[in-house]
Amino acid sequence: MTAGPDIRAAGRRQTVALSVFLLVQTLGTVFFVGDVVGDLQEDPTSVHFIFEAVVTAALVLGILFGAFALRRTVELLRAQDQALAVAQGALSDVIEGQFTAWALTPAERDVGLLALKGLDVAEIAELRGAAQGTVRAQLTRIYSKAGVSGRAQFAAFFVEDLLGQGLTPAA
Amino acid sequence: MAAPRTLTAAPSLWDPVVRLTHWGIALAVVINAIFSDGGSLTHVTLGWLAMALLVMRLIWGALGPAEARFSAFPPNFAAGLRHLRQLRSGKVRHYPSHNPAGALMIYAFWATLSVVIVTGLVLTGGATPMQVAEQKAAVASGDWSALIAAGDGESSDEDRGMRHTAEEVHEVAANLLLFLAALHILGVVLESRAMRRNLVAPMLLGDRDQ
Amino acid sequence: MKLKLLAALALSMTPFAALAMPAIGDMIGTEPVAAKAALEKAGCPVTEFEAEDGKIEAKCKDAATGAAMEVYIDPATGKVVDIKAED
Repeated sequence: MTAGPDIRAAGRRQTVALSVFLLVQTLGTVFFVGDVVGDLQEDPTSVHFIFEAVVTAALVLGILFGAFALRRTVELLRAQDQALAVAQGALSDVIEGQFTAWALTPAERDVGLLALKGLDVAEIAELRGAAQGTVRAQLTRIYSKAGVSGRAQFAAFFVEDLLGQGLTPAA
Repeated sequence: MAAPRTLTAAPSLWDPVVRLTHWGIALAVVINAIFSDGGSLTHVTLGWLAMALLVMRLIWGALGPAEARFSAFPPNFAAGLRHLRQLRSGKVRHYPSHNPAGALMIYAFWATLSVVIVTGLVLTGGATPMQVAEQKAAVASGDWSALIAAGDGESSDEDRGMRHTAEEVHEVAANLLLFLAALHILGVVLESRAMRRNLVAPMLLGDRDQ
Repeated sequence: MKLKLLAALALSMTPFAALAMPAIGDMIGTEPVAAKAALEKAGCPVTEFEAEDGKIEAKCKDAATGAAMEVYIDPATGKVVDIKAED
């Protein structure tokens, strides 16, 4: 049971370390380019300058690839975090995270959770001391933000994960 | 039935690159604007560090995860003003990345920082910190010839005028940065209050929940 | 007698302070020993030389006003390119 958090912590440390390294790469390249620019003004046709230009190109490519790789690592770790959270039965955390991704308001989060729990509009309205029309409007907004057409599809988002369909990166 | 949907990996605010560049630039700007003397080796080195951090953040804005990209917080004056009004009423809309007022602050800051950096490069003649260190060491030991760069001609009145202008712009822009920083801190306090969350924590430590 | 009076008047008009600092374009020198002597002669004894932004910055004290000044010298030509008060 302790494997989960340890892997997560290790993953977080790795992304921080990779970020620091990317920063060092960028620093080194910026300083190197600063030096090379001086040579450019003196003799752009010399072998020395051509060599420096090639090295600069390689360093810049290194940064770009490093940034790509770091982004992939960050996204992979987040996807892993999601999968681990589901595996450990922390579905409510996953739901909260998904609600945040959809930018639901605090009221919408409450209503959404109650809807997932199976309460109908009347029950939700009574629980929250609100009018049924209000709850209906909130649900409509929630479905719109989630990009679903109704309550069944809204629930399907989370049921899919429980059935172990796995995670694929969002389009 | 529609294609099986899956959970998107929720944005985790904030990734290490965003945090490192944010605090790195903040530190460099504060030290250079308040403590280090213009033209000193410390000042030039921190200036180059800020430049590298800015470059890295801009690359990340093009290549990074969704919430770090420019597309996640586009400059939008109408939305920004709307958000400030909401801030006044104490109830704000939530955003998966920077809110629109924050976004405007970010772009204002990056633009002003760029002006400071460019004028700084003009003033130093594009010398890297290593070159500046060499020059200072040379003069300290009495060798003035080390400062003579190939292609140096007579310094004209125009050159002097340009240098004075660059120096003025550098100082004004640096002061503007400090003003923006103060405004930013105020904004973070108000936003934290309205969202009832400590917004400094995610920018300092990242998402501790995940 | 008129000539003497005119000469005396002309001398009294000259601001005294102008004699205590070099002017932009003056030849000072391309190495520290000569430059130090020239600046002292021009009325601003040097306390130290530094490199700043590719020029030589001479920190000196204006003999007339006592103000701390910075005289910038182009190392290639040895001439004064800028004069500022120390801030």
